[in-house]
Amino acid sequence: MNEQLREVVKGLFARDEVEVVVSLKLNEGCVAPHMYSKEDDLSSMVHSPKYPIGIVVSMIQKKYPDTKIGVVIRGCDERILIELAKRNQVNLDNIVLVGIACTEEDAKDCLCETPFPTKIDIGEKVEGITTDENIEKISQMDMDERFDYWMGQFDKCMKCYGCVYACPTCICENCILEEDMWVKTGELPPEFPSFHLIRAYHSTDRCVDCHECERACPAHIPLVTLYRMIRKDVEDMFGYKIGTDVNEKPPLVTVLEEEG
Amino acid sequence: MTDFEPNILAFCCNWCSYAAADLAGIGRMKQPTNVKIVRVMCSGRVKPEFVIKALADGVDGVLILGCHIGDCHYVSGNHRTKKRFEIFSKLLGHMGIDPRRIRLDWASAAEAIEFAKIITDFTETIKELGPNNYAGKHERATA
Amino acid sequence: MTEEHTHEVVDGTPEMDEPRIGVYICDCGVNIAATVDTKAVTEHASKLPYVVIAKNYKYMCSDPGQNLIKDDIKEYNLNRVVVASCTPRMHEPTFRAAVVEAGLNPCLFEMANIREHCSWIHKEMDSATVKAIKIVELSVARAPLLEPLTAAEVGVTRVGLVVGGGIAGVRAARDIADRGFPVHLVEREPYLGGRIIWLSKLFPLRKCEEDCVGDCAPCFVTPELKEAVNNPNIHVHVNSEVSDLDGYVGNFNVKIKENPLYVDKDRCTLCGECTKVCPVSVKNDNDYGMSERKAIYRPSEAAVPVTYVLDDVNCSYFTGGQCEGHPLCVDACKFGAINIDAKERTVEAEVGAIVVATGSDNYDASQKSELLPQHPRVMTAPEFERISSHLGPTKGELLVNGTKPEKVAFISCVGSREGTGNTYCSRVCCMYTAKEAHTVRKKLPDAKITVYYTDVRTFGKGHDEFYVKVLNEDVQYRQRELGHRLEVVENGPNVVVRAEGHDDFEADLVVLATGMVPRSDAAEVMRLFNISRSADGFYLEAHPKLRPIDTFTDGVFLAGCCQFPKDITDTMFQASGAAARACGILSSPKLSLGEAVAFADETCTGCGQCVETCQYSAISLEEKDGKVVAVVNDILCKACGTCIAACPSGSMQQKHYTDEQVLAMISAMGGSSV
Repeated sequence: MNEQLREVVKGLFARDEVEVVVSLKLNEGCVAPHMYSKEDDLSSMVHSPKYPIGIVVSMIQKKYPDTKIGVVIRGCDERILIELAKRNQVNLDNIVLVGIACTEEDAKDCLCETPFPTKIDIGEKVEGITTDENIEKISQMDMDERFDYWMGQFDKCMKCYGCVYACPTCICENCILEEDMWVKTGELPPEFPSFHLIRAYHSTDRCVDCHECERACPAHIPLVTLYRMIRKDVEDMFGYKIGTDVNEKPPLVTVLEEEG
Repeated sequence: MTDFEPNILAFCCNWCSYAAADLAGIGRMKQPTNVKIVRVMCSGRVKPEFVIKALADGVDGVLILGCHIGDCHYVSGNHRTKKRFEIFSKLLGHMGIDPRRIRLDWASAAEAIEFAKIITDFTETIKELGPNNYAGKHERATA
Repeated sequence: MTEEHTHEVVDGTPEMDEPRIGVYICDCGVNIAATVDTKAVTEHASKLPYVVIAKNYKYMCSDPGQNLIKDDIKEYNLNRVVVASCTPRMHEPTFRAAVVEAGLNPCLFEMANIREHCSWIHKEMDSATVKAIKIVELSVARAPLLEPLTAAEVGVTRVGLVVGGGIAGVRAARDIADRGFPVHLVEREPYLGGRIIWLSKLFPLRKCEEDCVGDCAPCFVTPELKEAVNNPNIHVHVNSEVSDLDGYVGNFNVKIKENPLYVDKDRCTLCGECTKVCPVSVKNDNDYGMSERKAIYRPSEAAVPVTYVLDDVNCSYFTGGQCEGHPLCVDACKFGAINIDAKERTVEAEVGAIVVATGSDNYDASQKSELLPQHPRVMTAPEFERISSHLGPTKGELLVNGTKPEKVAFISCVGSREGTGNTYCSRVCCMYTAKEAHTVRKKLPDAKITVYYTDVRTFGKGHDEFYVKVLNEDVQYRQRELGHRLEVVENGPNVVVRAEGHDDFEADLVVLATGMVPRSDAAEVMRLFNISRSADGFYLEAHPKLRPIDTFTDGVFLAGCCQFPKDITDTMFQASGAAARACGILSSPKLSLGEAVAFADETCTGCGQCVETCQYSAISLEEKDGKVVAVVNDILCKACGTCIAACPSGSMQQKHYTDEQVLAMISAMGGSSV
């Protein structure tokens, strides 16, 4: 699949569709995001492992707003880019997407509902995973059981901010979770319910279900479970699917529909 | 449970619900003493984060009261309030915090009776739910 | 002074640069003191952080009460003042003024409501006192975080803009001009007057004579319009439209696109030679196709400015027809009044206040197929106005297909008060139907006249008297239920009106009393002026009862049928009202705006959620120090704070209602229970 990826990228360069391509580079056994230009040797370009490349693209575009960039993306990366575009952090007009479909193994790893981008250039589409045992388990619980469950989970939190920093759609320069006014500093576990409830509320209209927060969490708190439950509500209540349409405005900033 | 006197915070918008509270006062409409009002210009100013913070600080219940939809002094500030708190209530439920501790409602400047009823009903609800133990349940260690 | 009435507790002296709060607890006679132990509240307040002095007094709002505060500010060097008394909606301005007199910024004052929200709604003194203490604690917690603020002020461009040159716009423009302000009057058609110059007579007729006695629309409207054109303060832009608008109250920038008339009105002598040679003939829309006109024509004898105009959509010079290269009318005009090369131009103007008076459209009766609207013997009321006008295609003779009708039916509420669709009442149809029935009776004394009505609404001055008069002129009024079937069916050359519960009525003329609908371009105009529409599609007033002339955009006012259907009298009321509201702005030396505006700090990421949330387009994204951030226009911001709740990072804040201030109150709520 890496060969196939390099061929697609070569094609983009050959047709002058892009000036640079952002992908992953294998360098002495380590993989890191890299910006390739036409002259570069593409043999180091790889598509794996999964890496939230959106924020890198945002940084590049802020410096070079007029450059045509090719970006190698997975389903979640595309959703990330769309959400970043809604928040003026990337400009999709100057981006050409190279879509990779995740493997069944990838999809299982993330419990991903949509493990593929809109347009697939490389790989075969596999069906998403729509069941989440953890959600089903919590849904069965009553209020107190739920509270105890989450309390047990959040008790493990050591406030490393891994979830915040790993989140590709957390774009605030200033995070209120680091302010004493909102969450008392110097306390472990973090003030309840402030820390995790504020973070969950902030994820309501922007969580793209990429699993980066959970991957980053050293305490293995099932954050995605919570964010997924609220994502589902956003879909049901407002008919809003995060990360699908760049022109669709987040529901919390718009007026009620019945009032026009 | 009958001895429990909840501590309740109400955010009222300047134009409708705060005026309704004033009118209820002018009408000497008796209400429980549990609710204390913070005035904001529009219910749209009320961040759900404020409510989170109130829960963390041990407040037993929070009311957010604005103008009726369509009557917002700022045209559509309360549209946002409605959407924010609808989704926020769901979130509370997922986390096991009883969403009934938070209530979003509307009262026009003329609806003094309705206002007093909201205050009374909500106080009853919180009395039934009991004290906010969420904040206290954590065993805290100071780093 | 009143030492014996005050209960005073003096705390230690905090450092000078720290907040120094004075707290004043009002008894309000017995209004508060009967239920709240104000002395205990004062005692408690004196121990709160940063409180330098706490006093209790009988009537804080009285002169001695205010002096107490003023003296203490000086004596104890106070820099924050908290008064616990009645609602701030009552006396906040009073106390703000008092602290200003003592040299403090008004925003350093904070009020706690222990009357309406406490003493008046509770009975038990113990619990009411505990609550009052908590209310005071909340205010005292906020007070140290209060900051001195100054409201932004803007100057005013003393020029008005009136959009729409119908009778409403003309009235508003004249009123503004008469108060000495220049005003731009913009009209889309090539003439002023709008719909009114196409009417025949105007209800209620003051004398029910056939002879013109001044209720004839052109007779009394045309002089009004001429006044506008001749007023040196009014800049009339006909055949024009507002193409762009930005700015804010007192300081709008407007672009007016003027399309050429091709005829110089000052040279045109109305000799009509141009029309005689013009080879193009088109249907005259103003007569609903009942007459024809040339491409160069005079819209109406009632039209002002008094001139011929050239219609470049149909003129064969422009369409490449017979006149291509050598327009016949130019040769025919002996006065050199025609400039075939005239071009559109854009006038830019600065204006301080705007009156939107863009009018309405007629209801399109073709939607009512059951009423046979296309039948030659069925016409709408506006069409009937043309055939009854002495300036119309029949010179005022009632002729349908060249013959005088003998059996005339009027059908009311066509396109109004429908269960679905237009649910509103158009408010003028009952009266004009009575007037038109009267017109038929006067012109055709032997005609059979039947009016199918649902309700007759005659609420204006002189309206019911006129209606009663018409009833007595052998005009048969037949009531029908709104939901009941009513149809017009063909019957040879004539038609038959069939209404449930009534005998069929054979008619050789049926007049449909069509109502008013929002103009087809209402949405476009709405966006241009940043105003709103109600569910019926008409422009939305700021408040239906208290502010029926204002819009939600400061400095933009409504007049006439663009807001809702209304008759000429009501239109004139509203137009003069709108002009007065506009003049209020134009005559202000400066406009002072609120203090509590939103602002974004340097941590803003430019995500734009606030921009989407703002109802007033007050926030924009701009590049500052190499990054894109939200910038709030203080003048457009209405201080609702909705954008602040949309900002996840807390970069957006509201002055006087900062997150920190609200959180201080929330913290004060927690801790010790009630």
